[in-house]
Amino acid sequence: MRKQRRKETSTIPTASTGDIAFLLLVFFMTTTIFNNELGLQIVLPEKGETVKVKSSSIAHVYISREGVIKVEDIVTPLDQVEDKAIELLTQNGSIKADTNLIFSMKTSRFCKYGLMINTFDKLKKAFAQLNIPEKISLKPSPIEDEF
Amino acid sequence: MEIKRVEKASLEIPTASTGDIAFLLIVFFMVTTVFRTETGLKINLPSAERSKKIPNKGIAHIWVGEDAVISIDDNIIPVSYVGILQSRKVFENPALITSIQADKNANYGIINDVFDNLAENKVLRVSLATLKSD
Repeated sequence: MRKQRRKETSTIPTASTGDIAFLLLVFFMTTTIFNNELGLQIVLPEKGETVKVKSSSIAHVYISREGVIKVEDIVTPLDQVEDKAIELLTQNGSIKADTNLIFSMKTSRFCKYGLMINTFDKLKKAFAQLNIPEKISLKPSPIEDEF
Repeated sequence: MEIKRVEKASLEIPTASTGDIAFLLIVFFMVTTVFRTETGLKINLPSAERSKKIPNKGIAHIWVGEDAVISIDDNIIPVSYVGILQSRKVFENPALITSIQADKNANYGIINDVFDNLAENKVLRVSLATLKSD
């Protein structure tokens, strides 16, 4: 006597392919990172918008054609700009009460852009360390003003 | 007379096609996604410690090369046109940020001219593109 063999089903279960595909979709959606751009944000002053400021509340930062940085007429290497700025903003280790000090950056037209960015970055860092709003103005340096 | 019994309808929702639908979605988004196509100029960005992320939406680039070449939308343009072109974009999207991608070895003078021209055309929200340095 021979028992007849039962025929096994030959279909592949497809109920889970949807889950697999959605899993893939969700995985790639969550792991995709659109690379954000980095940058230093500035707001340009509107043309004709001139504000008179007391000369005592301006700290001049000059960058010469050769890349020499002067903070308040004192030659300062790039790595000391931050400390110098903090020194100007503070008094005996605490932030000056009436800190209206504006840093005015004048950069030679022939100076490298990279150096200007680095100096600007250092000033920004000084303000960030003291946790006070940035007051930096980027002034062009007229050609006749070269030093 | 014999009454025929009503056959019971199956209660299951057919799931065999959900996979197809999901893959269709994947393929659709893969095909329609357009990445930024602007090639710009070859530049070495300066690095800064205080670089901040700027929102991906609404950025218009200005490329400034080492040799003072300015490119917007892959067109080389003179500096006097920068402001006009950008102000048109700002008119369409007031929240637009102008990102200046300038080479660190470019002269500051050309960047300054770009600033001036932008300010003249009331394009005031500017970001100076940098790399993050530690």
